[in-house]
Amino acid sequence: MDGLTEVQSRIESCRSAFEDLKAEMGRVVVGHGELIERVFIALVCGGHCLLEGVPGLGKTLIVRSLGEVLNLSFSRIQFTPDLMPADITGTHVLSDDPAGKKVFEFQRGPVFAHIVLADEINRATPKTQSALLEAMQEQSVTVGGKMHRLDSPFMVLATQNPIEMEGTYPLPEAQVDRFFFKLWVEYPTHEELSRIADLTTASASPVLKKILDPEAILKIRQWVREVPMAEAVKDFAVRLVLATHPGRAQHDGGLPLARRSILYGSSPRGLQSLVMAAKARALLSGRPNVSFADIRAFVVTSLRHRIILNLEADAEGITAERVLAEVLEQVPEVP
Amino acid sequence: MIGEGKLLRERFSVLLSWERSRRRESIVVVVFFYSVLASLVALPAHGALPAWLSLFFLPPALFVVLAPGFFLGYFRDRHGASLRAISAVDRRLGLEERALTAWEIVARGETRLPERGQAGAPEAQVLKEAWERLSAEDLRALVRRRLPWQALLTPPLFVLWLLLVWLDGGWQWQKGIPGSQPVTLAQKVKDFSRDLKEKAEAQGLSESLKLARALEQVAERNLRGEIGEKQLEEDVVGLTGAIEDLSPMAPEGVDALFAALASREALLDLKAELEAAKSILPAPSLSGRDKLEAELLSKLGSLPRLREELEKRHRPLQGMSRSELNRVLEQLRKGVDSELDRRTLLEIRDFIASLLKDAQGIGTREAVAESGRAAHDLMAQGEKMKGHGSVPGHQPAAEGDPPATAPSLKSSAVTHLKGLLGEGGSSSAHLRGGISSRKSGVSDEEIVADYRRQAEEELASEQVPEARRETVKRYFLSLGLGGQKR
Repeated sequence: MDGLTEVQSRIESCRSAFEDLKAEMGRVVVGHGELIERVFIALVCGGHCLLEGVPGLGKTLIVRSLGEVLNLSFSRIQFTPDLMPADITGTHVLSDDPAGKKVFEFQRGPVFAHIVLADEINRATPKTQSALLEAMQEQSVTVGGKMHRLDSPFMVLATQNPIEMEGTYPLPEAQVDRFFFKLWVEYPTHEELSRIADLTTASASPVLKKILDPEAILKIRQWVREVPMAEAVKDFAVRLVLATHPGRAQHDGGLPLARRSILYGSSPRGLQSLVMAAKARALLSGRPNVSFADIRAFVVTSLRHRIILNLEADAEGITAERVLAEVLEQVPEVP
Repeated sequence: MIGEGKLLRERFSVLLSWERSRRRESIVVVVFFYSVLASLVALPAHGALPAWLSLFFLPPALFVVLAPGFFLGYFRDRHGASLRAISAVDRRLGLEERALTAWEIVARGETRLPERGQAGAPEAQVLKEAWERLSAEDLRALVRRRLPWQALLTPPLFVLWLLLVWLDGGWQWQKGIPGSQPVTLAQKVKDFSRDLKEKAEAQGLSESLKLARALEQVAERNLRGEIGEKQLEEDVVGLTGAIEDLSPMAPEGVDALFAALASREALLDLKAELEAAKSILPAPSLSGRDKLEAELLSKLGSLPRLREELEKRHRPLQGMSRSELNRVLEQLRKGVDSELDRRTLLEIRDFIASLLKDAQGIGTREAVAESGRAAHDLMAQGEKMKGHGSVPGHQPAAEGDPPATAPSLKSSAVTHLKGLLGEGGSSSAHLRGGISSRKSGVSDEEIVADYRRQAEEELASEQVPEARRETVKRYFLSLGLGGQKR
């Protein structure tokens, strides 16, 4: 089989796997189609997601179901103010070996899973948060001077509750920047609520089929990186990121909202997220190359948590989404 | 992949060539639009344009000036323009940037078909899919010719410009606008010789007239292109160099006396009185009476300049017969004409010398007119006394100028005070007074003589219609007689 045939089969298999995944997830999760798609894209790009939404919207169900469909181990960590780092990473415990001798044995913590749901991460102390963030960055934990590698693929889905912010420890911007996407979990619609009622109260939950496995996901991760991207498309992504920096954008004159609202623009991680996500979308859509539409699709999710607005924007109620909407409107695809 | 890559390269080349020719078309239209627009804007200020630039050539000239800038922008933006063209193809066909990506891949020269596991396979897939969609399309039809909005405005603007140029009062077929062109030596000589010819004809200066005609001919030959500048200068030098030879010899015995006359004005006064005397004298008597009557003598005596000249020549009126007087008057007239001619020729020589000196620097017509006026003044007016003083009505004295002083008045000399020649008419006042301890004044005879001289000048100019010249002349001549009657 020559290279061309291999690529064709690769593209086709990714596309069909993605379609199957969405269909299978749709059997247990009502709505949230875009959320599922983006979480999967973050997974194949090697990124982590920050989910924000009120309780009871199905965040845990989504993550657990995704783990089942992808044959990935799943763990959930409920963050509380008294949670300690060792509760996340694991610790040494005294136990008896087969010979009856007392030895210290490392007990792996909940972080040792393919998919980790860190619920209400902002409720834990910064020290505990940093333990998880270190694991996200390094994909390993060090306990007692010994490094323990985490499983691959590894993804953290951290959640934040936007309505109970008293007594919480909001993640600093530098830490928020490490998340690949920030996703809003929307409240279900009327039809979706009706279907939820049917699904969760009438019959038993269906058993999910396994669509992919960890090796397949790792292959897809490699294939994503090989998707060709035209220089013009990459240049469009760069101009979008630069447009979030007032004074550096080519079309600064046409971005009044951005110019007066943004204190700090997106870091280069924003560009990496944008480009990788666009490539993944192109591959999963069955296309051989990245398009301008792929870049446009992820501007908000990749950049909204990476731009810092000033007090004037806060006072006027200007959100990052509104600023990014202006950026998308004003920056042309081809200058 | 090799075949598809090459084929795609050819398709893209055809598309981009088409796109570039379309852009060049648009640029030409845009540049022409701005040329016409700039011509319209510059039309009110066409006086400031170079004389060699005819208004009809203004849009093409501006086109030549503006085109390089626009085409430079075109060359600098070639890559961007190509990008936009191929992106347009992607949009029209819904290829989702397959064409754009394929174009970059073929531009990089990646045409090798990769083996399994080798790099380049995803690029090959892009080329394949792009070719599948583009092979059946006419790419030039996708990038349609679309002229810019300037194409709609250019024709009416151009018509408007033509109309304005046609109706513009300042427009001339000839290049240049009066008053703003640099004037050549030939033009200066021609203007001068024309003025000189008029004056010489009016004052009966035969040699000056001859010279004026010769100078005019030489100047016209240069203006017609028959001779060059150098030949013109040589001819002019030759003509004026022969002035010494042309200097007329007055009747013997008279020339020195006329040469001694202080000013040209005195000569003109004398000439005017000679004309007056001629008109006073009746026709030769058939009865043979040749004696001058007392009344006639009295009239002739009222011509002071004439009386003075006759006394100088020891030829008093009393005792002269009519025929003798006619003869003397004729001699005097010839002598005056010769002297005037001689002086005029000398002044012409000096003026031409100064023109030739300035032949390197070309002045404006105003400077020529001013120098022509200066030459005219030399011929027509009396001795000029230059002095400091504030110039009446034109400009204040500059700081540091010495205080204005009245010019010293010579006894029995006509003093001519004159202001700065500017636009419009000039006026002058003739002051003449003998300095005496009792009183100073100007006699009636002198005033009448002055009026007669001025009348002669006016008659010689174009101010007085031809049909009225005799009437005006007789009036001024009768002035002195009216005074005598009293």
